[in-house]
Amino acid sequence: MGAAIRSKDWAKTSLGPPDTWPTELRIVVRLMLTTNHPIFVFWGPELTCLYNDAYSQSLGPELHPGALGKPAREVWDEIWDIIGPQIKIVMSGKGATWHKDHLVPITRKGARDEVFWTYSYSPIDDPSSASGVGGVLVICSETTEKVLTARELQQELEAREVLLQEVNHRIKNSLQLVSTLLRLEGRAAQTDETRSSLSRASARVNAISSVHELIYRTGGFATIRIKDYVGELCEAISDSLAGQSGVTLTYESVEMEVSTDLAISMALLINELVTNAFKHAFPNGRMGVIEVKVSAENDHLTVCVADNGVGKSAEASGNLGSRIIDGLVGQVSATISEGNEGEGHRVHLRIPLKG
Amino acid sequence: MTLRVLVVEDEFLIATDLMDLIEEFGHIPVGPADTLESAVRFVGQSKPDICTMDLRLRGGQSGVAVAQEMLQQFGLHSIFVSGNLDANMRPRLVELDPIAFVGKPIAPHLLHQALDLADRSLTEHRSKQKRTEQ
Repeated sequence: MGAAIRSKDWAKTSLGPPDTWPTELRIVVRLMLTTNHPIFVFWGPELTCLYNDAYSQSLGPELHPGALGKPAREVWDEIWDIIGPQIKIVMSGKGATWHKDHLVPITRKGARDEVFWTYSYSPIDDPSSASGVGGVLVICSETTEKVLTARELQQELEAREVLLQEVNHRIKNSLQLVSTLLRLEGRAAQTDETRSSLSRASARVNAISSVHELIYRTGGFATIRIKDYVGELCEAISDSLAGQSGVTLTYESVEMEVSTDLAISMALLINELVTNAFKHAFPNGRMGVIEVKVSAENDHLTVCVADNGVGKSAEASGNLGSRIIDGLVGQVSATISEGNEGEGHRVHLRIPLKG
Repeated sequence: MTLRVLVVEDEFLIATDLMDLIEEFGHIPVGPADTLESAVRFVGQSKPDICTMDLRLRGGQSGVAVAQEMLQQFGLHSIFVSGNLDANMRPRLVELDPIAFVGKPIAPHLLHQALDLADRSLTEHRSKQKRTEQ
């Protein structure tokens, strides 16, 4: 551009021959030509255009090299509504402007391109001008690639999230099919014992399914809100068991996030403890209440399942239910304490929270 | 009274579960239908009194549209049986004058309650009709 500027017949422009240019303009043009940062200059009452090699790379043959020495209004007609007001601010001595990743489209190589820029418009002082400002120094960098890449990544990310949601929905649906299969099998079973075993297996699958239901519905992935899920789980257990008795299930929980793994273990534990209470605490149509309470202290969660039934019966231990409880308690490094307290039975789980 | 219940559900296992439960509760299951076309066919063949309706059917068909068709063409009300009956969905279904909502996994006693409700309102409705006819 140095050569182009030197060989240009400036006498035919409003700037006149370079040896008549004010010192300020000459300093700015010299700075502009010696840097590889894209720079553009508007100077004088006609806002005559000057720019360097780095800037010319953002232009198509429509504008380069023709724009050199032309009035801004003529060169930038298509974006005048964007840059006109900014030039006016700077030229009237009201300071500078700054834009980050700003869309300023340019027609180049026959197409109107969406071009993004991070740029400043700064005043170039000129004591001879009425506002004290003789021109505008535009220091800019084209950020189109960065902006478009970020946009693509964002779209990609959103697509992934949708996909993940879809997967969670499938998992939930598949678990429900498994649970339905167990129930169908249970209904066809010949003995009460088989029926009850299959129905418990179905309830266990439902407990896991309720966690996935919540993951799907809330859009969380690694963690889920414990309060929502305790509610969800207890409603499901209550729906599947309460129909048969005068037993009410109440629940209460802290608002807190736990990992999905822990949530699934807790879902199975609560399911076992509540089912045990339903099964053993209220014989012969006895009415009562089962209470599930999840609370948190600094480094651990407490899950308490209490009932006001007849107390723990001896036959409740040794079956698969208690093996599941013992196993999961070990898996989440919890400690368990239980006992008949006044009326009914109470189980306390203390689950340490990692990190 | 014994109801004839058309099961509209595209998942075969869940449909089977529903039909078993309906039978267990003393009613007659009809279907299952998994599209609007098959639902219409079953209505013609088996003259059901009510439907159970899933919200997402085969080929992306909407159970809401099927329920609307069942109501407008044949005067059949629906028990919506779906895993997506959240607070956003229910208001959209209210204009279809549903009998009840039952979530998935299906809690048998809730389905039982819904069928009892349908039974009562249908019995009442028909005795009213009889009285006006006389």
